[in-house]
Amino acid sequence: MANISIGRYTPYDTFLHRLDPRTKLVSMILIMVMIFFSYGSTWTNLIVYGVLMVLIYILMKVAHITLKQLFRQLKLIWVMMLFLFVINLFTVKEPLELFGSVSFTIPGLNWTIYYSAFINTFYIFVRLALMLSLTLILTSSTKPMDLTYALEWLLHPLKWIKVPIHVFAMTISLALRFIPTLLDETERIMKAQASRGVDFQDGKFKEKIRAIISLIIPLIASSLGRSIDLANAMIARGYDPDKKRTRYRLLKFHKGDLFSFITVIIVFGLLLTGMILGVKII
Amino acid sequence: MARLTLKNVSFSYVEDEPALIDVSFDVKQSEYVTIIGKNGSGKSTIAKLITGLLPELDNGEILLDGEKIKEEQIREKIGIVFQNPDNQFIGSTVRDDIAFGLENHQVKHDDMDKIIDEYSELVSMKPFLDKEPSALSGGQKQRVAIAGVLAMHPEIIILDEATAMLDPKGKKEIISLIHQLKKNDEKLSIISITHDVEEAFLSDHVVVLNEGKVIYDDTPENVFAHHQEIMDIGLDLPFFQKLKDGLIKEGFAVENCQNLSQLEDGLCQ
Repeated sequence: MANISIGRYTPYDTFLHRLDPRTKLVSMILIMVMIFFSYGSTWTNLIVYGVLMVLIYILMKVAHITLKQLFRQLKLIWVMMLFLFVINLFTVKEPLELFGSVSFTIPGLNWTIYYSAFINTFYIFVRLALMLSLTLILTSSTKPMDLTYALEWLLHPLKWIKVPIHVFAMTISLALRFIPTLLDETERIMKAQASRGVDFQDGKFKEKIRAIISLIIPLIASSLGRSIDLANAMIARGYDPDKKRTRYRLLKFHKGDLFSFITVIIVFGLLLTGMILGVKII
Repeated sequence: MARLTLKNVSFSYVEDEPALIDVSFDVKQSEYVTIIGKNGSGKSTIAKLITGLLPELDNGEILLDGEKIKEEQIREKIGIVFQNPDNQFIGSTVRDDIAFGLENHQVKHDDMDKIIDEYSELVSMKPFLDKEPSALSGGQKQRVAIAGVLAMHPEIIILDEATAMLDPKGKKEIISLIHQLKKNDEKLSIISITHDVEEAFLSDHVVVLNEGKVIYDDTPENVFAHHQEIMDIGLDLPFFQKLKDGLIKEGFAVENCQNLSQLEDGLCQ
């Protein structure tokens, strides 16, 4: 079960690890917005993406993330990209000028392919890759619990319209807490079922489905039992979602946070102005 | 004086299938009470009723210091440790788990670290404060649960089969911890719901349940003197009792011995 560690927290002590999770979360959202902006011209877009790519690569280095880890994540989106590319070949007909013309025709098939199909697919690929790198940086440098606190802080304004944010946060933190427990449980049930002759590896599709059902049903049953126990334990220790609670974990905003946050805001501001004014680098 | 009193308590989960019938017993201040009985005898139902985790009683009442117990009083004065070490571990680390109850009781942030240190020390879990539950043994998780309950300063602690899922070593640790707690806080009352007759034998007062009814409510010596009856309801006898019976059968005059060391003396005479 150890291979589910992709994107998991890695306990290093780096600048990124020490940042306040709120800084990291808000910065990540801002950088993602920058990635999804469309700038003045094709070349401007490519240059901005290039610069962001280099910056994100540096952050990855700081957070001790290898390119191998990123590629492992990218594997998951290859099929999607290929599919998107084929669709784009047929549908994208923007007259985007590249190398002096907007399209070329495949002789014999009488099929005109626009350069913009390539560019658009490339944009989407780059955007997704950058987003994945960013989430990788965030999740491997921030404990899931801290991320939950940051999310709770970010969604705090919703409290004014009576959305029970603290309950969501508690739910998420309990879910995180029980992931390892449920993985252990899954392994135990798989072993128990295997010892009774259930084959999880081989067999036809139908047999595999049946094998998985023999895993899922007991898992759900035991999870329900656990949730009742957990609810009792929480009530017995005085938990009441409607009552005020104090906090043990407090988030602290340090100098490094201020510095990082201001940097992100300045870059964001520059790019935003550039986009609105339609500035072209080339 | 009795702190906690169950007076003619009856309860049923499903209509006409009573889980408890006319149950009455007292728990005195600083008393260590064990409730024993086989599976389905209603032991855990008692724990849930006392801690207010079940709806209204069918009949009878539960009194704290002679007055009908209220919800806020329960949360303030009664703590409970459950059977499954995993399912009651709420925080992401030992530290956070002990803090969970403190947060609920609105303890100030600045006071929390001191309390967490104090109680983790008490259950010898201080070196593990930043460990996650998956890195702890069952016995360690139960000790954390006990620390979490103690940190809220309860006057009565209920252990609902808290040792049932532990290995013998973990079991031993928890039972010796209970005895240590009693020494530390003389006012603390402990109610332990258990399968373990050895634990019951070392307690102050034993309540035996069978099919929802109290059949004995007495000191361990008196309860376990009913050999045949205890065996008949599916419970075992403590090692001491078995040894004594065997010795009497062999013709040794040890009838008046009340514990192992007296037995030793009796044999050496």
